[in-house]
Amino acid sequence: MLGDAELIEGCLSQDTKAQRMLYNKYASTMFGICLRYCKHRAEAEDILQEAFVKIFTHLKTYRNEGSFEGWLKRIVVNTALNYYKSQLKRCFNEVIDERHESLTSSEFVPGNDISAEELLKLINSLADGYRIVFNLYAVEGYSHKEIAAMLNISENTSKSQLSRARGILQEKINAYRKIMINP
Amino acid sequence: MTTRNPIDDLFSKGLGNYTEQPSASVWKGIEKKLNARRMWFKGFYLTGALLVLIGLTAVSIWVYQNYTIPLSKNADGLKPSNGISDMQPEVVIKSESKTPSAPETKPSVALAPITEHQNEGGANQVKAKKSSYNSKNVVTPTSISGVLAENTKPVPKLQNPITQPLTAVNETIGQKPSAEAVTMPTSSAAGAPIPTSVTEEKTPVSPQPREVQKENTAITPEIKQEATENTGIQPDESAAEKQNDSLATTTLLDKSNVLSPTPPATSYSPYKPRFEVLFYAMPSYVFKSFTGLTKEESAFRRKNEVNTLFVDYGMEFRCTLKDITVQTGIVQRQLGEKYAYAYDFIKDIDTTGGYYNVVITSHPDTANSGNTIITFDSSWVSLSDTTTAMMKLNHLNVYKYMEVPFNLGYVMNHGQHQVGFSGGISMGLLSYASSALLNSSTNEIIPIATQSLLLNKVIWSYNLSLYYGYHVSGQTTLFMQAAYNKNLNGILKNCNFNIKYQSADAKIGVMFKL
Repeated sequence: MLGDAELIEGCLSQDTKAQRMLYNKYASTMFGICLRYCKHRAEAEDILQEAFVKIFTHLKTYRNEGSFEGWLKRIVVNTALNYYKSQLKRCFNEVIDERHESLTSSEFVPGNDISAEELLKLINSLADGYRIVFNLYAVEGYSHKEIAAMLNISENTSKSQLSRARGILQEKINAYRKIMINP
Repeated sequence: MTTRNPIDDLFSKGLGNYTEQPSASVWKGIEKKLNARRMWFKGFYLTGALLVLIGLTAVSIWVYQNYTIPLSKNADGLKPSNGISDMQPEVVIKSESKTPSAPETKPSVALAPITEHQNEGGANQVKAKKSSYNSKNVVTPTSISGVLAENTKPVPKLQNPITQPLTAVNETIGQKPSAEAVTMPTSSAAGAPIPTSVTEEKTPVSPQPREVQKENTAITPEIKQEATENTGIQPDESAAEKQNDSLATTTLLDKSNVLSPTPPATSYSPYKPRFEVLFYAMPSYVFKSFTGLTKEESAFRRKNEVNTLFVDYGMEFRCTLKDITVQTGIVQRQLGEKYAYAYDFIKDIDTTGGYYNVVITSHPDTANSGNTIITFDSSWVSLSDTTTAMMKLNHLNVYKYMEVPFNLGYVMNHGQHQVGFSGGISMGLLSYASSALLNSSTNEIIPIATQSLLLNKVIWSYNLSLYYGYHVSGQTTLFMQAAYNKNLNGILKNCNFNIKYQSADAKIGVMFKL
């Protein structure tokens, strides 16, 4: 298996084999990210395809600063954000539902009893705005400041979106657990 | 230290490293988009190159059509350096520039014939143009104009320069041009308008402008004397002669003499379509590029496979209207390569069908001294005598196809010469592909030729060319056309890599008017 440096070199010289190998190496990881941001699999595949075209055409801009995988992830996430950009604006302008503001983490019992597939389903059930902010903050590890800049929203909007996303997810997880315990 | 939210933690751990295999269609889509992008870039650069070529040609044509030697500049540069600058001869570029009455008389003789004869073309035109410039180039020493004006004989005014040929003017005048006649005073001593000097009418008819100029500007003793009296400097005759030489050269270099086309062997009307048929042989030097091979593999093949010179033949039809040409026909083309025998290199070839492109190399067999191992794709044979094998392998991987070009071009006629450029695309129908197989039981290399493949594979190419033709007669033209040709798509079929051939062609042939 060739290393990233060799693959990058091959891709830069427009070698289709190297491009294929790079794709095979990272496609599943990147597709996992796409699935978290998209409601449907077809959309995730579209985003993955677009992201890899961007990767191959902009590979020369990668300057070996930081991990290559991190660079790929950023491109995939940005592609997903662009995909939902028009819809996001509408989502963030929705009237804030105060229902979930009161929910706290104390009501939630941590555990690893939910599979990744189920977690994916739960996250996909969120509205676009909640899902994206939650993904960016909770999974990717971006700060509210960064999210605000990326999505062109205020930090407070980012915080409130996250809070509501957490509330909805907590409710759904609790409901899921009840079903699993008392089917 | 802040504690992480348990919900965030749950999703981060559960989905942070989540992977799932996308469907195969994703890669196909990526490949398609990347290829489209590459094609777009190629098209972009090709279009750019074509635009540059067209631009350069347009500029060349413009320069060609508008080119004139700036006579006044030449005259400035011809000032004699003999210290008589105050009285140096003045080059009269435009006859109306000095004498108020000049426009009334001079152009009627010197310029009118040009317009009348221009349409006739041929020698008359050239003569008329020469004459006009001669009359313009009359040298007039201004400081002695008053003295010389007295000696200047008025010219009988020509009533109709067309009906009265220029040659008749000399007869009417009945005298040889002299230094006296050279002068074209800008004004008389009394300030009265001076009639045009004899020279103006005389010089245009001279068949030898150089000599006339010399004669016209010869420094007479009178001129010398006055110059000496006025300036105290002895006029330098050689300087004046030098100037005359230069002026004569200027006249000869003038557009009408040099750049204006001499009448072609046949008359070409740009507004009537001209149909021609071209027959030619075309030496073609073939080289190539690869897709689907690694960088090393491509480099290896480029290094070890010898590019080949083929000779192809073709027949085309050309239609020319307003210098624009449209050309099509049929060409028998060959592409491929010869082999150089180098170190071993193995490339798996899909031999299940299609057109193979085998890689053959050789190196000494260390196990059997004197033998040579010929590596044939993934197989090899050890042969004591490679002569037969090499003969069989020579011209292996040769592809022949019938090509139908569609070209658009531009040609310019210049006397018997014709130059131009063209570009276009061509469609090739593969008719023959050669390859070879290795019989492992007998260690024998078996050349195979797949024929009857017409229409089985279409090869698209583009070409750019420069053209030169020489009109031997009105019906026949010999021509040469240098062209660059490149495949737009790969030539192989069912192979896990592909080859795009390029060639530098030189069409040499004859063209007949239909």
